[in-house]
Amino acid sequence: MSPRLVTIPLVPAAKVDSSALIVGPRRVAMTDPPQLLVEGRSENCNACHQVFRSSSVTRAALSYHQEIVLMHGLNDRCVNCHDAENRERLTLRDGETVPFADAPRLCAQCHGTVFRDWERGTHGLTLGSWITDSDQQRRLGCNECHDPHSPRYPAYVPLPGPQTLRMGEQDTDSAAAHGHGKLSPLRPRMGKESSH
Amino acid sequence: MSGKPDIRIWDGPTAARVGMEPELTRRSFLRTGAAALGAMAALAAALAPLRELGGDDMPSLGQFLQKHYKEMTSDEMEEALERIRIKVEARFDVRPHLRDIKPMEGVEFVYALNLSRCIGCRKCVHACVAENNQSRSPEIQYIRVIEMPRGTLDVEQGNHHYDHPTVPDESHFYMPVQCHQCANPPCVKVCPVEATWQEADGITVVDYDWCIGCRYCEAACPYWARRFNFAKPVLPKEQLNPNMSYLSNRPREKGVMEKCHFCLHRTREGRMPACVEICPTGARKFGNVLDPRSEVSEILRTKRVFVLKEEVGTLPRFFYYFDERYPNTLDPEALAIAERLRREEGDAYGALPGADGPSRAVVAAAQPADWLAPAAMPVTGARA
Repeated sequence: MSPRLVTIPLVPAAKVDSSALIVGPRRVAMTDPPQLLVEGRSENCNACHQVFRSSSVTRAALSYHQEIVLMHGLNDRCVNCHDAENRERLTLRDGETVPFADAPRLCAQCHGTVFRDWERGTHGLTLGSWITDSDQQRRLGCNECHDPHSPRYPAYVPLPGPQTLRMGEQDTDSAAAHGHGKLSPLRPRMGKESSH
Repeated sequence: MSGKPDIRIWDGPTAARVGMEPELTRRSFLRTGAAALGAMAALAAALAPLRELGGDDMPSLGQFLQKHYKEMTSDEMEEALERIRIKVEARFDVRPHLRDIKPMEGVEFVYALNLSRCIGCRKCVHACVAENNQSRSPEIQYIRVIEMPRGTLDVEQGNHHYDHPTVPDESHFYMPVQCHQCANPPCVKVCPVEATWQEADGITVVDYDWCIGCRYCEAACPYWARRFNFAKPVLPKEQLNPNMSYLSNRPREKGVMEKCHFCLHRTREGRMPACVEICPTGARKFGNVLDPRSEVSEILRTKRVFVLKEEVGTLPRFFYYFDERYPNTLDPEALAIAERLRREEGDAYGALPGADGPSRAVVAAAQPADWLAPAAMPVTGARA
């Protein structure tokens, strides 16, 4: 039997926007002390909060900071995390206050198991180097991935799926002869284009 | 002829035994000549396919005579590297930063992937392609992200071609699969020419100049991790990554096998693989398993890990694990607790225990008694 000529399907790869492949923290965390753009100027929290008092218990809609979307489950009061006296610090449950740079200590009070994993490096993103204690290694903090006010991860638009050989359509009639249509990761799903 | 019996086929050993020089007879001259002619004809026939190659594909004499990777001296390796640099520059107009990087002492790489965190965004797939100079047409990718129905680990039920507007899809989980860098690799065993082998740091590599393209390794791999260049790889010039090494991401030719090599041109210099750094959820973890303080060592000690197809005995260096989450919004018990709190606490509901929230006792009563205690976990290694 002579070898059969099989044409190789030259499906070009789908274009991927290079902006989707930028390495770095998912979001920019607040600096310490935090700065906010107010009327085009960068201001410390206390520039306003030393002047205007705000209620410590309210869950009413905010008159300022309206860009904040608060979806943190049961935790829906500003002063659960922000210090009522000094808005440039965060408050722990025992009354101690910590700077914004120590935010993981605050998060740890509720998310203990995740904090434990993060300390060990088994939760969260580590950039730079795999070498323990390397200068190049950077373990991202809680608020470099999660928005503290809406910590749940947003949905992502998936990048294009594979059009590779053995994963995409194969231009051979042997595929059909060998039970094409069986649910196998090596073959595309026949009959239904995609399975939603 | 001097009366010598002329029936011997081969008189070499006999001549040596009796201390005589083999005599050049007309018959032996013809025999040797015919054999030499035959050998030349066979060589010409063996090389004939080379004549069909175009100028670019034609191996140079140096490449043709290049030794096996493990047999090359450092001078010969430098020659080979320079040959490849020139070839890459001619093809891509960029002089590559090409070198041969050896494994680091006291390092064995291990990969861990958190299936609780993977959202199936496929960024790792495309970061890998950008890093490793895979062919764009036909498309070659090292990582497959398989969408799996919740409740099973049967990959036969998985789907590569999921196409939701956004991921993750709530009724599925996502399982990326790539080379598992097995400690007992079947792909290495089946290679007839030793073009693929396991290095001291655990990475199974391919010498693209030694591979004959038989694809035995592709058939042997239980993780579908090997990729074959069925056609001449097409890679646009502007997409070439010039940071490359001999055993990893230098441009490949038609007819050779390739696969994930844990980005060894990055990892052997202390950097993270491309797929780890691009992962938006931190689901991918990489490190040195011989270092008890590395992230992967912590995972192996404290998480519930499993390997794919454990029963085939390949001893993968690629581990999957899940997180235990509490509270879990899919957990009816947790939802019941939240509902009860909402009912009982009224307006105080949602405030943390403290000045103006519910008492600590109320919260404590709503939770299982030991929910804040560290989970009991096996400690297998020495800990500081």
